[in-house]
Amino acid sequence: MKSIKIFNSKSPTAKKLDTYSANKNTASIFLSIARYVFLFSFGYILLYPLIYMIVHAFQSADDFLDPTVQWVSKTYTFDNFKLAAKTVDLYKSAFTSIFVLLLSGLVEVFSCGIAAYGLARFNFKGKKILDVILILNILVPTTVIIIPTYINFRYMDIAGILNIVGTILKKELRLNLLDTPFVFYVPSLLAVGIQSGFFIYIFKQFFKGFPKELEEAASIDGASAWKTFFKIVIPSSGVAVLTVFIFSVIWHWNEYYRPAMFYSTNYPLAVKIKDFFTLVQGLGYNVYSAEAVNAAMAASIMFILPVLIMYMIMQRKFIESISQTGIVG
Amino acid sequence: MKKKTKGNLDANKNKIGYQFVAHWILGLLMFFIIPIIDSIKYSLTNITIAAGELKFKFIGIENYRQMLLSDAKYLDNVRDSVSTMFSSVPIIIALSLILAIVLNQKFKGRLIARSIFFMPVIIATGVVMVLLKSGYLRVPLFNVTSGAEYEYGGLIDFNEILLKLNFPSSINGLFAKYLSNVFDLIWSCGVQIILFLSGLQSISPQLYEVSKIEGATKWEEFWYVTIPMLKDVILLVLIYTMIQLFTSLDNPVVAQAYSIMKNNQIYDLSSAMLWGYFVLVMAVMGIVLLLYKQLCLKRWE
Repeated sequence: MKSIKIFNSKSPTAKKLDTYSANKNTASIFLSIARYVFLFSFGYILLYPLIYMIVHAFQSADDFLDPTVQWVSKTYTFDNFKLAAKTVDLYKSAFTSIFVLLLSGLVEVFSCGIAAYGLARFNFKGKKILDVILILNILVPTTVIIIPTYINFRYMDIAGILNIVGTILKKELRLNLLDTPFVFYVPSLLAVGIQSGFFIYIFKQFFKGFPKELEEAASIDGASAWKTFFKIVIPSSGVAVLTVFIFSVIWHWNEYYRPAMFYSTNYPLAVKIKDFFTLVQGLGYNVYSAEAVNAAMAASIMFILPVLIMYMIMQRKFIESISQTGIVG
Repeated sequence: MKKKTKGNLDANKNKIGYQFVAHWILGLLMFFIIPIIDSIKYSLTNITIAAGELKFKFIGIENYRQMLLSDAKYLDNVRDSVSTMFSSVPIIIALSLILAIVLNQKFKGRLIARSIFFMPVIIATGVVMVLLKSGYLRVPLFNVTSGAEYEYGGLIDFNEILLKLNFPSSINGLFAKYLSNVFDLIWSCGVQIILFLSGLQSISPQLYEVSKIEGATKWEEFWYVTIPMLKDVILLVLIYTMIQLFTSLDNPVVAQAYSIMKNNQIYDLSSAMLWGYFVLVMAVMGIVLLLYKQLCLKRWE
């Protein structure tokens, strides 16, 4: 960043020497106006839903039906949030979202980091096959393998051992993991959770660019590979961890596909938001009514607010860290 | 002698690698490879649900035949999703590249602009978008897709504009559809903008300095410095965008398979649908990447 500054800044004398300076000034003013117009018009499209959400979340039902009210409501109310919280069963579903999805998202950051380090640093037999499988893992959509995975969780087994023992004892020993948090914890622990292929890829690219000398020095000093990894590599890979962490949080928080499949009750927030109109109908509201629509917007605000705040805080570091992870070459 | 010990040491050191990937290999076996094999198996069997247990009967390619010959919607959906891909990918890539270049420039309010333009990452990948696009709310920004019916929405009624401009009505619908899709496409640019932006930041400023000294115009600079330097990022974005378009639940084929799987519990046919589709997707992606390599990468070398 600093070097860009040096090259772009012009000293006053240099400006004077520039014979085209007058022309260039007009051009640059024109360009900057064009830039703002461009950004405003696209920014408007992107901000529109957010503004729409905020306006409707605080709007009373009367204002919704009032044709003179467009953007600025006449009265403000928190009723929509109350109805939204009631509809989505806020405390319970937020609890599931945080302690099941977000927690497994955190676990995934580390399990993926470890696997990626193995792939990036060691040249063992079968590594090439694993590299290919990694690409396949990123490419194959979840939908393709969701049914076998569902059945897998319904009759959880460890390499068929429980099944064999079970048939001998004539007892069902295979575990039913559906409706338990383990359907998220176990894959995350084994680095095959939500979007984990992508995370391993990011980590792998980063570790490949990581200077080998540091690790070699550590291993000469007698540190084991694991010790090197935890004491040297992890502390210096803040940027990769941050990138994966943010993606992981966003994607786990937003995940509704798997929870909807593997859970039958106790849904996390994302599933409840998706089914909001069905749920609000269950409470006796018409889906097209002002109350329902406003409450849906209030629920959306509640849902994206935590991620939005986290994102706003980390936004600046995030971009810098992505360029440093080396995923973009 | 010395060499041998060193080789042994290296081999030993490399064996430690297994410790790092052991959990992942177990996970891949349990949650990726076996499910994939199972899923292929399902697509070749007839599955009946009896007393809570699934019963499998091998029937060969019967499911694929049924999907291609007797399902009226499947082929239409496949055609739709491939044509959508070909119309959307160039727009998404061009749009996100332009936005990334603009956001990479120095101007007042850049930080705010950046956080606005990454908002799609948070909203669009998530469930809120499902809610916003649902037919219950008539958010005037989005096209509402309810089942097979395609309704025009959007901020600007392009259909109306084109009619007023005296466009022939036969091509009107097509244009209006693509134009109003542009608004939807901006929403799928979030991650792409981030990738391009970080790619732009990793281009060394010296290159621009050299091109300036050589007397290149901004236009030439863009085509001869920026684009070739971004070739890896473009490849990454290309792959990411295609996966995103092909595998999202908005995709008509995926949506169709998902709905018959979840609502009607027909596991065999839906597996066949997804596998048939997946093979096609791989083929299309392979062709696109090959073309990219042949036409673009070679020229930029």
